[in-house]
Amino acid sequence: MMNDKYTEKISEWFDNELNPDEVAELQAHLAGCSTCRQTYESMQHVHTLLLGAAAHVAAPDQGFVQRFESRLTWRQAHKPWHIWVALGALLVGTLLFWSAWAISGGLLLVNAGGSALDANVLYQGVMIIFESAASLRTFVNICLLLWKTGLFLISQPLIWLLIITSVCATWLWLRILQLLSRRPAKSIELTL
Amino acid sequence: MNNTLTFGQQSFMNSSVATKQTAEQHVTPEMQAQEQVWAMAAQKGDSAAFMNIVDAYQRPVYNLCYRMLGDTTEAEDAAQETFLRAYTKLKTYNADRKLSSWLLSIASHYCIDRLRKKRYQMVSWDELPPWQAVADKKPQPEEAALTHERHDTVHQLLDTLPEDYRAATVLRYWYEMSYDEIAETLETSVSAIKSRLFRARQMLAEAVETQ
Repeated sequence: MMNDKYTEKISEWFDNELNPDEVAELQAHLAGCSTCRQTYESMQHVHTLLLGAAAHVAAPDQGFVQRFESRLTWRQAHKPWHIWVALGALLVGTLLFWSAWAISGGLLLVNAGGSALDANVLYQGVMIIFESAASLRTFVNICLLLWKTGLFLISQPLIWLLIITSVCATWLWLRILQLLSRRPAKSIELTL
Repeated sequence: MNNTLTFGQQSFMNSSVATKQTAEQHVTPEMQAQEQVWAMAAQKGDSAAFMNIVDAYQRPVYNLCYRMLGDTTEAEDAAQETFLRAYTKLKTYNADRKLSSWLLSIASHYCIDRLRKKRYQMVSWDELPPWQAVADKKPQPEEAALTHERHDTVHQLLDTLPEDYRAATVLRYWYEMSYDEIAETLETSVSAIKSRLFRARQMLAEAVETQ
């Protein structure tokens, strides 16, 4: 009868991780268990295959160190530029993102008298949060507040446009950054 | 029955001894001392000392990347990236640790990440469209030379393993690391390594049967 305990022991046996007593116990079990013996044989086959393959250690082409040196030089030379691009992307993305929210806030105030959301509701909601933070009512009010804010934002296409634009701009910048930070151009390697 | 089992174990022991020469890379105490000198010099900004490290470890690092990624171009790129990462992380290197173990740890993690990214990667911008890729697919001389490697049974088998299992298997067989060493290199527990190797062997045995 196959036993997980013994099949795991077979694996450990291949790695010389069993003490003599455990080996003896495993051998005794294998002698009387055809299923485990079959597992042993299939694992032994894999083990032999791997040992055979491990005899060959792959080596890089000649000039690995020189290619690495060239790559390191390239990376070091381009590092400051990358930092500036990263900072620029971050700045643009952040500005766009927050400007979207700032404009949405402005529109919120402009439309304070409108039906979507009253500025007083916002104020009251915030006050409730501070006054009774642990109560269920607070939770309900927060949800209500978020719901109303959400409804208001959905009703403003300009805000959506700004949010989408800012997200897209950030993504584009990050993508450009990713492409630029890849391995040096092939021409550098060909000059070696 | 005992005879059969003893024979099986004996053949395994013989094979194990046969691979020891290649996988261990003949690291002597003198070499280790020399590596520590290079590592300390590199930490102080001596780039020539770091190049000595690259020269000494290019083969084991490249071999690990090749066994993990299964492609010579990717292995070259990954090996170089490993050394770049090592260069930028030099300050964090602890001299108590073996330099080879530290480098192989960086290489393993990098390859695991790379394989994971590859698995979830969508169509990349710099990839050729399928029709162009087919049209431009000319057999390169180096590709022809490596065809036998690419279609190697063991490589195909390794490809069937999850990244973590593959790393543990490669470190066990190609570097003859103990469970403790593999656990340290892959930054996990010994029991996890034991389990990964067991599962890897099970999966490989199943893959062999289906071939």
